[in-house]
Amino acid sequence: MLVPAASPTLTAEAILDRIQQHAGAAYLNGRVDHGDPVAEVSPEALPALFPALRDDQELKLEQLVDVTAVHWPLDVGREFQVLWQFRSLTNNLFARVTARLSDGGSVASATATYASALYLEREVFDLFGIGFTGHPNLKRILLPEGYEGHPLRKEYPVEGPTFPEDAHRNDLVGQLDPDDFWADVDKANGA
Amino acid sequence: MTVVSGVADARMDLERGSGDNMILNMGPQHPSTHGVLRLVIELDGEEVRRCDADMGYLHRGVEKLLEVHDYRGGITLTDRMDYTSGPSNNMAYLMAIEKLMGITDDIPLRARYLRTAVAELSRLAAHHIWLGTHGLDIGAMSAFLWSLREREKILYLFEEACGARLTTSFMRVGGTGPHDVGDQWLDNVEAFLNGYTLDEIDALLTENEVFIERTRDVGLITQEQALSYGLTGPVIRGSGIAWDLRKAQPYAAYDLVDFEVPVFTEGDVYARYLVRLNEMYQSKRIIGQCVEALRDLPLDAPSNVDLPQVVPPDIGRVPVDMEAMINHFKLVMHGVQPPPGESYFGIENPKGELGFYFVSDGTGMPYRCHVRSPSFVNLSIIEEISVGSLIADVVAIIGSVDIVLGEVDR
Repeated sequence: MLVPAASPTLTAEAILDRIQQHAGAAYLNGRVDHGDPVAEVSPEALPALFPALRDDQELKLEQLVDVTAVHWPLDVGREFQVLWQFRSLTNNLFARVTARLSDGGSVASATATYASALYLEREVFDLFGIGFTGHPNLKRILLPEGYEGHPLRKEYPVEGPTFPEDAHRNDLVGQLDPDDFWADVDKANGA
Repeated sequence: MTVVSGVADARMDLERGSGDNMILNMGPQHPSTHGVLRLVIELDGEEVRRCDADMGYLHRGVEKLLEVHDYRGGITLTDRMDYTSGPSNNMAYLMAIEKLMGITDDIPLRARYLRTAVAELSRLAAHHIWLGTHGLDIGAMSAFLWSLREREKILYLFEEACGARLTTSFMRVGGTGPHDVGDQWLDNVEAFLNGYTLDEIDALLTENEVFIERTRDVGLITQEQALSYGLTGPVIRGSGIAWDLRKAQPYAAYDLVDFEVPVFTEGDVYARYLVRLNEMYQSKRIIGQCVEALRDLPLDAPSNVDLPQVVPPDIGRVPVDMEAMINHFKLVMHGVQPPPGESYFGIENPKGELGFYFVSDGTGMPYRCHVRSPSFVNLSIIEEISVGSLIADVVAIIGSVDIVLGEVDR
C-alpha cells in the first residue's frame, strides 16, 4: 500500500532546482506561481526529462496529471505554450513544466513514460493541432474524424465555421408571406 | 501531421477484425456505457482481444465557451459537465478562481463549512447514482431503486438551498454568494442524516454471492498502472494508493473535520465498490460535523469575503450609497477581474481530481480555461484492463471506473 506524505517533502524552489539539474542547458527559467513551481524548458529536452522526473527519488513525479496548451497568436514564432502538470503521490508534490513552440510544430510525446498522455495528448492534438512525435495513436478524440480545424485556437470562431452569417439578422423575420405558406400547406394536402 | 494517416488505417483494421474475430459495437446507445460512450470491441468467442473507446458525442466545447463567458457566467457551464454532482463542480471552478485571485485564505469559515457540506452531499448523490447503476448493470435491480430514493432526498436539499436540483450554479466567487442557508435547511439536512441508511443496500450487495462472483478479480488495476494512467479518486484508492486531495492538500474545511480515507489493495471491481461504499459512510460523517459547526457559528458570521471588487454589495444599499452603486455597477458590467497570471487548482470530486487551469489577462473573461476532467483520464484505463476479460465483465468494469460522459466530452 502506498501512503502519501502528509505534507510536501520539498519546497517549490527545491523542486525547480531538481528540474533544472535534469534539464541542464535546456532549462530556460523557473518561477513559483501561486505557490506552484513552474519550469520552462526548451522542447528538445523533453524526451529525456519525462523519465528523469519520474525516476528521481526525491521528486518521484509518478503521475502526469494533465497536458494542455495555450494559444498566443500574437507571439509570432512561439505561438503555442504546451504545459505538463505532474504530481508525486508519494512525496505529495506538484510541478508544472512548460515549453513554447511555433505554429505547426511538434513536441515529444510522453506516452513512453506516462500512459495518461495517451488520451491527454490526443485531446491537445484534436483541439489545438499540436503534434506529439512518438505517440502510438495520434488521432482526434473528442471531435469526429475528418473534422476541419482546431477549435481552441484563438482564430477559430466560437459559433463554429459553418454558422450562417445572417442567422442573427432580424430583417429575415416575417419575410414569409402567410398566404403563400397556407397555399403550400393546402397543396401538400392535395386540396 | 504525418502520424494521422497511419492511424486511420489502424482503425480500419479494427473494424474489419483479424481472422475469425468478431467486432462488436457497444454503444453509443448501450445502457451500460452510462451515456454516449462507444466501445469498439474485438471479440474472440466471449473474450475481449482489443477495445477502442470512441467518445465526443456530447462534446459542447465547454473550454471554448468559458473563454467568452465572464467568470460568474462560467459557473453555469461547470455543473453541466459532471451532472451527477453539480455543486461540487461549481466549487472546483470557484476555488480555482479564488486561487488565481489569491483570496483563498480570506474565505470566511461559514462559506468553507457550507462548501464542504454541499460537496459531500453531492458526493453522496453521485455515489448513489453509481451504486444504483452499477448494481443494475450486474443484475441487482432493488439496489437501484433504493439508491435513487436516497439521492432524491439530497436533490430536494439542493433545491431548497439554491433553487435547482441538478444544474445548481451554487455559490459565487468569494463565498456563498446569495445562497447562504438558514437554520431550517440545517434542520432538514440533519433530519436527512438521521433517516439516512446505507445498510439495506449494503446488505443487498456486499455479501451477495452473485455480486461478488461478478466483481472479484475482475478488471484488475495494478499500482503501476494506476500511477501511469494518472488515475485519481476511488479508482486509485481501490488499487492500494491512499491518495485523496481532501487529506493530502486540504481545501475548504477538510482540515477542520475528522474523516478517514478508505483504501483497498485488491485493485478489482469489488475493491472499488468497497472504496465508494465506505466513502459514503465517511461523507455522512463529514456532513454531520459541518452542520454542527455551522450551527455553532454566530448568526451574523460573514459568508462572503469582504472585498467589494469580488462580492456585490447588499442590494438595499445600492440606491442610497454612492460607493455601493459604483461597486455594483462595476461588478455587473465587468465581473470579477483576476490579475494577469495562471494557476491550476484541483479538488477531489466524486469521480477523481477535477482541476481547472486558468490563464487570466486581467479582464473579466479568462484568456484560457482548461478542465482536467477525472472521467476523461480514468476512462483511458478501460482500453487496457478490458483486454482478456469476458464481454460481460466489460460492463462491470465500466461501472466500476464510474465515468460521466458529460465530463469526458465536455
